[in-house]
Amino acid sequence: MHAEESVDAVALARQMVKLHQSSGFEARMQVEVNDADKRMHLPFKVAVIGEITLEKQRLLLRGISPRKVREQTFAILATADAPARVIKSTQDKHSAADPYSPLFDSGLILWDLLAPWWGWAEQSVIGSDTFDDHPCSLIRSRTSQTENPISEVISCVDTTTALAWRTQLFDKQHTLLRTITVNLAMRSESGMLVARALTVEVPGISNTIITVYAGDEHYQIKPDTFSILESAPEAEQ
Amino acid sequence: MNLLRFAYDNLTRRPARTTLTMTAISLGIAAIVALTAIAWGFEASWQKANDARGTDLIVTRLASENTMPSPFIAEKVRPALVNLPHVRQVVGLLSEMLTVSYDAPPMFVFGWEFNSYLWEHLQLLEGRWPESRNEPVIVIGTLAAELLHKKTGDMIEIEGVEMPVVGIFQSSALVENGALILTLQLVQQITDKTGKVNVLNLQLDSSASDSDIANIKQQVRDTLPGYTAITSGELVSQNAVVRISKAMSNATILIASLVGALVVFNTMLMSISERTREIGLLLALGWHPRTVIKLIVSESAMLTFAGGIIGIILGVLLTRGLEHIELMRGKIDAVFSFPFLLGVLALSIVLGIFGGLYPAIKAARTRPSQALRQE
Amino acid sequence: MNRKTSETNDSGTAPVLRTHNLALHFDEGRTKALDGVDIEIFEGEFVAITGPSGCGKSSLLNLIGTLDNPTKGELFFCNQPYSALQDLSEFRREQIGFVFQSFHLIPTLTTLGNVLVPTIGRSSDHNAIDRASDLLKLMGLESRLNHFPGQLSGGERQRVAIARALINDPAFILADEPTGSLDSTNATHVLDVIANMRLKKSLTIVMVTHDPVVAAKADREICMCDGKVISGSRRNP
Repeated sequence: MHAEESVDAVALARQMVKLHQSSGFEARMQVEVNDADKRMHLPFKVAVIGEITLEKQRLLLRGISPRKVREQTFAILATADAPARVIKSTQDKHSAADPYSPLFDSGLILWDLLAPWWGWAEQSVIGSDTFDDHPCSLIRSRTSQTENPISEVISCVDTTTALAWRTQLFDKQHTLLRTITVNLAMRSESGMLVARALTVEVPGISNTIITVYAGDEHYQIKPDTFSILESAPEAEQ
Repeated sequence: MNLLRFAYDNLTRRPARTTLTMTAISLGIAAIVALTAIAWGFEASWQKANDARGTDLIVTRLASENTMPSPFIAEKVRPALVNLPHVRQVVGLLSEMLTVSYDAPPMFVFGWEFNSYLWEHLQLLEGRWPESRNEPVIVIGTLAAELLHKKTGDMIEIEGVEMPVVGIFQSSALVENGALILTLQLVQQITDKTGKVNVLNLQLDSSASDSDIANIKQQVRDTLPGYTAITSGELVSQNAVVRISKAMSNATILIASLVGALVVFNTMLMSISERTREIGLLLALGWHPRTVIKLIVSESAMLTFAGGIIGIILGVLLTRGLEHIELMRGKIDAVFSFPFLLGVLALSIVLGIFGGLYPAIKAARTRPSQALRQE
Repeated sequence: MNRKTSETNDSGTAPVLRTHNLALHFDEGRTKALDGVDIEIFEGEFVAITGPSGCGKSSLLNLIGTLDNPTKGELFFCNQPYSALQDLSEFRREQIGFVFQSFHLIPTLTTLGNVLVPTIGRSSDHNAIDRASDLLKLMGLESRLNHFPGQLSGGERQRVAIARALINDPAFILADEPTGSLDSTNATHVLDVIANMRLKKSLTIVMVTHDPVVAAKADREICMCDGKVISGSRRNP
């Protein structure tokens, strides 16, 4: 890998981190899951509130409907110094949860929502590709953190719009764990291109379609929005 | 015997070709009628909604490309507006397009300020209105009731919150008939947009003139950067979906016109090449080349006139049919005005004239002596 | 009956039709259909143009009828050169009636309709139908007004064509082998009709024929060969 290519990838990764910063947003998503037998599960809706800064990234995911997801809330906190931490809250009971676990038997994973691979030190351009007529650069992001089940991510990024049209996540053995593809994009208020609908494919297991149907780019984070992160004891699930 | 009768006989002489050409024209015209009526109807329906409410001006955020203008905190903007001259009321509105049933397409959910003028134009057919700003109840339009198969007393879940339907209303605006209406506070709560609205509706006093309205717009531009005051017509015309549907209808008009003219051109060219001897005869008998041109153009205009009539009927039927499809119910309120249909018919005839012109001129240049020698 | 003379008055002794050094060449001069033809035809004459096939008879008739333009030379109608005529189609319509060997009737028009074709586009022609009906009565076709050409015999069709040629009361009739497609009985009948019309309407008739029997009925015979007139170009004093 040439030094020049490493520098470009790193700059792009920094740009991706910067572009996704937000002092407060809310996104409402409808999630539809098809399992390997092509059976469709009952769709569910969640609301995700987020605050993304360079120092820390916080998300609060709340189930909206149906009833089985309604009473569940998950909060995730990630910083540069510590591994991602998730607290699950169900009817005022708080417990620690795995940030890498699928939520509600779907391809929706809290850790993925943060896209932390853009903050990893090792970034390189490994080639170019075309996704759905969009020319992309293939960026490989790597980490040597052993506790992380994802050790490598390859993103197909349209460098003009800074949108990753396709993201592939691999484990240490370079086994493809899942692929996230953007099906539909939209312009945010600031003009940035963001995903409106995406698919998370877990090979041989499931296909999850996530559609953003409502949101607020200027969500007001209140002092107690992420309170469950502070109040939960760090207990085993 | 006159020229038009002669032209008509020439068309009926070749029934297969005449029918094919008319079919092609009528399909193109039908597409123009349907798409344009739907695009205009969509725009008109939105405009009707605002006009029916009695809103004179709408204040929203600038440059929103989304279906709904992006939400903003009402109290950051309202104080500047209430003090503007001629402004009688400033009323907030929050609207979302949400799935409330997996058996029905996404529907409009409106949050209107409780006890505001926004509710006055609705006609309650059954049940009652919300009785307080925080009462967790829903009123639904007649079309929404039909699509959701709900009546008063039934429960509807919106974003995880189950609420009873307490009333069913009728509105002159189709978009409202297909909507669910709650108090603004409730919708803000349900969608986690506390204090936010998409739109602030301004109702002006009756003495406000057009220049007063223009002044208000200017003052909003000057004092509230990032916001704009527009009429409902302007808001609707800026709407991305309206712009797209109008662009599609314009593109259809262009393409259908081109194809229509080419079809006529081809038909008339084939027709005159088969009638070379006859045309030579007409010229030999003393027809002026101008008269030959009039004959050919008359034939092509008759073709497209008939095709246009059939196309208009087809287009109207097609649109009415689409309006009754489950997926489109509540979304289409097609507008057919007599001047519009007349305009489409005129377009059809113009296509015939232009399509037939070159073949007509070519026919008029026939050399009679050569033409008469042909078998 | 009114005789329309075109732009000038006939002096009575001058020919109504005259050609001077008339030539018609094709293939850039390689084929000479007419090569220096000078003829005179007087008002009321019945002139037959005869000669072997390819001698230029029909070409001469076409030039007289303005169906073609001469390569060289000039034609004169009542001493007015054809080249000075403003509107050739008006001249054809008002001064000339054509009768063709193949009749050239329009199959989808009735007898009456066919006769009326030359009147279409003519301004202020209010009694065209009456004139057409009268002519067809003269032709003995009053019971055939609403028949189509396919329902008529050869002789009847040619009589319709003659009526059509006469509808606008022309100065002369140009007939190209009018009996060429008819049996002898019908041919005689048609010639009698033409002769009758000539007397009734004081017509000048120019007829191309290869039939000596037909030619014998004419006042004068212009013989042609190889594009030239070999006899009869001028009337005997």
